[in-house]
Amino acid sequence: MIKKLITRFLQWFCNPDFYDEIQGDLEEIYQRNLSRGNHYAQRKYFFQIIILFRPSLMRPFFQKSIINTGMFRSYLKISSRILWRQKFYTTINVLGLAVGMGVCLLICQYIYFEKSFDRFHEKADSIYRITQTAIRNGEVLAKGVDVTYGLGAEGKKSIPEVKEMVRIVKEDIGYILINEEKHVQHQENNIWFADANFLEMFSFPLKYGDPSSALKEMYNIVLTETMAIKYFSHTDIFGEQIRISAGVYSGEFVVTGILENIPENSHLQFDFLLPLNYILEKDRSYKVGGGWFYDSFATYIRMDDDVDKSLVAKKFDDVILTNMGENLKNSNMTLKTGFQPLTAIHLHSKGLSGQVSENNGDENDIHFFALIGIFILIIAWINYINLSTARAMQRRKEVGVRKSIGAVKSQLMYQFLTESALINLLAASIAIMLTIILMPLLNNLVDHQLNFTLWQSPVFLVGFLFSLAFGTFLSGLYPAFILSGISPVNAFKTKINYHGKTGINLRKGLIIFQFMIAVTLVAGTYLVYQQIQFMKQKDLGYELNKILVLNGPRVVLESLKSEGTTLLAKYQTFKNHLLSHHSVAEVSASGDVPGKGYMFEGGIRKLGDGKEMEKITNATFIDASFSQIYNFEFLAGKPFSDEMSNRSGIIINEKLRQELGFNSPEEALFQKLLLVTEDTLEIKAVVKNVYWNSLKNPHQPGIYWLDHDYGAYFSIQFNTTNLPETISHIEKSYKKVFPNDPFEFTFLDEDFNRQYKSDLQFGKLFSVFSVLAILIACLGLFALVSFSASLRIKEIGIRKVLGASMSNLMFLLSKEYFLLLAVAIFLAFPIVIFWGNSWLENFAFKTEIGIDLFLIPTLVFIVISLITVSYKTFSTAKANPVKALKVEN
Amino acid sequence: MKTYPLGEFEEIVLLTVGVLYNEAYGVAIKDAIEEKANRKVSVGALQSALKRMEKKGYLESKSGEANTQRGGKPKRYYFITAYGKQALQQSRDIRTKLWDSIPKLALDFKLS
Repeated sequence: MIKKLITRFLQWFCNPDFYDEIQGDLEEIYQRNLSRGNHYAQRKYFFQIIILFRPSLMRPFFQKSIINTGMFRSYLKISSRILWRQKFYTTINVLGLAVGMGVCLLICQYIYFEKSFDRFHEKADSIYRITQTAIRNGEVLAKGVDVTYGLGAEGKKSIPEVKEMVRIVKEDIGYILINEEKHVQHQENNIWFADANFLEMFSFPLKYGDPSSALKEMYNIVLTETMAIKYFSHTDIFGEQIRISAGVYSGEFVVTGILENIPENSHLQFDFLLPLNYILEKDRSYKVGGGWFYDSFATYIRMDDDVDKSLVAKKFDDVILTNMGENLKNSNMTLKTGFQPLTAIHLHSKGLSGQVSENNGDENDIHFFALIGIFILIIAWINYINLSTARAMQRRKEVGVRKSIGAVKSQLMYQFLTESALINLLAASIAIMLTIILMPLLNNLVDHQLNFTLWQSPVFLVGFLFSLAFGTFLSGLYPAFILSGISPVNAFKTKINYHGKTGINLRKGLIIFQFMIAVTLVAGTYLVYQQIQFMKQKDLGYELNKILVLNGPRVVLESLKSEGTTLLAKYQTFKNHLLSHHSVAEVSASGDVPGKGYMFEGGIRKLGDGKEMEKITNATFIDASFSQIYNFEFLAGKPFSDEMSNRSGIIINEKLRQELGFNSPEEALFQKLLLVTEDTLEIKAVVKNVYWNSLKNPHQPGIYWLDHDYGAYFSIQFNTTNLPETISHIEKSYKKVFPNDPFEFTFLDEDFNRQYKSDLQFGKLFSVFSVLAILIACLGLFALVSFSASLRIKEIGIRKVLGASMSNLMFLLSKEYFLLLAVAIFLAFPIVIFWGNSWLENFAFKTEIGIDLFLIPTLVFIVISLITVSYKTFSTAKANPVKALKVEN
Repeated sequence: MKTYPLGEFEEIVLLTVGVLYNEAYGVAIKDAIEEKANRKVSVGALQSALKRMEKKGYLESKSGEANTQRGGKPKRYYFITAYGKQALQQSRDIRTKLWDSIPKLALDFKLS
């Protein structure tokens, strides 16, 4: 087979005069080699032919073709000579273009990655996620992906179009996982509960285990390779035991599946999977109201392509009406069902709430980066256009000679296009190398593991070739037209404007455009960093860097009874232990801490109001000392005290007070509220809004509910210069009181600032691109300045002889460019203001666009261009006038 | 003096063609070089050297008989031309001359 193929190849390229002889020789050697095995002989044969592929033995490929290759060769030869002769300009052109293209390739790869999300699932094209929009009086109350348990179940049963259905639910309560044999235990949060057919509908590859039965039994657990190694230090752990300790969710589990690590381009990112039945069994509340009460389940369904989606949505709406109609009517609400294609989830989930809604991208960012990539490429192309039009005058004699001996316009155009094609090709090959080298850097910036897999996409390949051709024409066409249009008579007249009047306005315009983009990028970068700094440094009312967050104990819950003690007593012992150390200022137990979201989201209304008055609020449990650590500002009422009994009251924030319609904090005091869970709550105090989440989002309504012993987290306020000592004290105390629980902690500032990770990433990418844009633009400026300086050497010589000073000359040489720069900066400001304001719209708490936003980029630019321009002007101005005047040209 | 451009590998091939007299075709030349000069020769290198020297006029060739062992393809036999012989001769003369003019000491020194 191989032999036949490679022989065909030989026949194709080999000169027919030699073919018989050579093939005969090869065949003879092959026959002889057969004695040493077929493989050996074939391999030898193969490599011999590869080595035969050399010009001296090839058929004359080009002589018979219709294209006039003779002329083409001449273009190529002349072009390469010219490029070689002008090494300085060629280098700048190629380098600028290569960096520009490299950036473009990296951006393309990034976009390719972002668009590849969830496409690896075999059934990706027919899976949809259900979305739900709550509407009251035509106003959208909420839009999210969490629906009720019943909706999926009933939908699958009664709507025939729904082929498969999977529900996922997540409970962030901090599970302690224990491998008892190896004494490994950690707290985990990324545990999902899913229907048994999860692994059949989605194609997460299982390393061990059977996708159809892995989640069938109640006490099955499926985990990822990384987790397998974390707990068992190897992956072949099918059938091993693992214990979960988490209050009511505790149990002994059997490993029934080990997943290969979840691909980075999956929007579903989990560490452990448990059967959905398990959480339904253990947490009865999900079954309240026949499974039509709590909406916590992300639901995915599979439908055939030819199904009318709006019809199915309608059927789901009907299912909702039949089962929840009464309830919805009472609260004057309608629920609308929608579908999101699986492959669209990653980029089109902005504004959708839900538990399983992490790892989402933003389509706007992608468009934005694509735009930047294109602009950077344009800047690089402009360099080429500018340089070649500027030097056009130097080449007009060449054009004149060519025309005199008979070249026609089209031939000259080909000549110039060939030059630009050569430069573009050279740049493209360097760009590809650059991309491969810089890939790890990009990975570092975006915190994903990307590979250069772009080549697998035919769309990209076509696009790449197309943009290469486009670039060649764009950057080559202008010089081609201008230069080839010069009449030979004019070409030899020396008295044409020395600055090269041709295209001077175009050149100025292009420089302004280049610098406008670059200034915009710099100002944009500055703004992004300003906003991030603003969010990080904003005074939140509490000291982020003085609070340590400790994961609360779980295992201890199981031994309380046998020890004959209460959790509260344990907490008290722990607190006392901690406070005995001088560096610990205060300790508090709570269900959640700022930066980690709220435990619970649900409807709330004044006691006595109808259901239609219900508002959505967030809630978490806190103990009495929480308000002190987080510095609650009381507008009415007093902090909780240790004497108050569990769940006897709540503190609400201003936002909720306003939403509920209390006119003043005092009015709200001691009023009763009804939570959707049918709990009646009494308002003990009203506080100013607490900064609970990322400053990207506005304050949300919040309830802080008294519970002395709901310690999912301990917040420990410390005041120390010796952090290791404090931590070791905390660890000792913890180990003493909760000996069976793992000691795991974080710092609040880290947790809180992690919310800005994606903004920081955006800022980093942005700054890298701006730096590159400046670099390329300045490269072009540098070349242009050196060129125009070289044209004016004599003029400068004469001026110097006549007594012009250094500064005079430098000003003379560079003023034109600073004028252009000034215009560019002036034009860039409206763009910056417009873009900056629309970008800041994404943030609830935002920095202000001040005068420094304009001053600093301007300053940066003046300094950089000053360096660029003055380097060349200085050396030109300093040169000995005698030398300058001696030059004959 | 007229010079005859002749590379080192070309020279070896040319000599081998001479050695094999009347039996000099591709595989035979390859085998002979591999055996006598103790070096690996690829068909590609050999063929391009042969074609080059034919073009220069050092060699001439004629087609031989077909052979089933060669998949029905004829052999092509190479012969040294008079011009080729001169090239060899010149190369040999130059070497001899150079050998002769090495001072004895230099070689002795090298050997010791």
